[in-house]
Amino acid sequence: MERVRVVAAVFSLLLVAQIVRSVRREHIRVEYSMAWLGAAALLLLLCISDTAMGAVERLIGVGDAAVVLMAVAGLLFLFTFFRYSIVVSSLKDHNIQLAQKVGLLEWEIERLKKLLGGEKDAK
Amino acid sequence: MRNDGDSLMVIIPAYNEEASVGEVVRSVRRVLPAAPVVVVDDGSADGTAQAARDAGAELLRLPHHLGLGGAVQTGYRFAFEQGYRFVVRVDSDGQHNPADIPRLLDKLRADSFDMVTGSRFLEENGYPVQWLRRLGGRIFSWVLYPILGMRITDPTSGFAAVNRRALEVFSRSFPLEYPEIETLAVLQRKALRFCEVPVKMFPRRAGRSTIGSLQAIYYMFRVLLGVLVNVLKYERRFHAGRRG
Repeated sequence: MERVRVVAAVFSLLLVAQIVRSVRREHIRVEYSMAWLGAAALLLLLCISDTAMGAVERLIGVGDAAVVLMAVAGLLFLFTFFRYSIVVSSLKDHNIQLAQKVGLLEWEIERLKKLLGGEKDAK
Repeated sequence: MRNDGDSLMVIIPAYNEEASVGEVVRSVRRVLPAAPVVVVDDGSADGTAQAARDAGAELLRLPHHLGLGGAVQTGYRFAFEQGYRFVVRVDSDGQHNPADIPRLLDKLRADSFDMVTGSRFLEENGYPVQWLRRLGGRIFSWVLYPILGMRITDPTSGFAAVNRRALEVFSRSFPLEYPEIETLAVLQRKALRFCEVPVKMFPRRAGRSTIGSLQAIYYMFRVLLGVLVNVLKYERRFHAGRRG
């Protein structure tokens, strides 16, 4: 096996180990670990399977395993970053709505407190 | 707070404007004594909230900093939920002259516009503007002209009066960062009408502008992208229905 494939396989295994460790410690939610685990698994497959590597080499028209691994890894990371940009944007929208709702509810609570205070004073 | 048929609310988004917000609230209340003045405190770390309250404003406190668009939209949401018909947005740094509010409102009511903004460049009034800001304003005017079908002389004004129709749109959808220019594209997309009236503006009373030189470049690209996205979102059915 070419040296670059061994290095990439080791890197993939380390990535899997780090992701699993982070999920166990609840630093990453399971649903958000899937894309990283999928990327690591695909890289590992390309490293250990000549058939898979040959198929991708023919698909993208490149005969060098190092270039194929770089290209696939780059595409996987782009896809993963894009997916998380969508997730972060959605979270930011929810965060804004929640913050606004908190502001409006606090005003309502203050108003009710004043109203109740006024009623108590009247009694 | 009253929310009868012709009700008006003034909203003032504020972020770390302790030194100026109190005087801005007081000057608005002198011009419009019957209108509620609501300060939206955008997670300030100084005494902005207390200064606003001391000056007699209602206070909406956001739990953390959302940015200008998030703060303004909070005010619009509040006014819409409370049933207000007209809302005027005034900046908390003292650049907007509350004496011009009636002029904005007269135009809004008389000519059935959905938003009226105050322009410091429609008539020469000696307002000092940095060359970079003036150039940016001109570029935005050129870019916006074919999109809006009209020349906007002061696209970054922020001094705006809106009616309930625009309020409904903005309470649901409002740009988060640097909202003034994108807001015009949103209105155009929704087939709402807007115009400018000449106003006098002052240099800010205290503090520094939130936009530095490097941020100005980011600002240009960010706003142009936001306008482009709004053009791509063009709502064909909505415009067809309005024309029919």
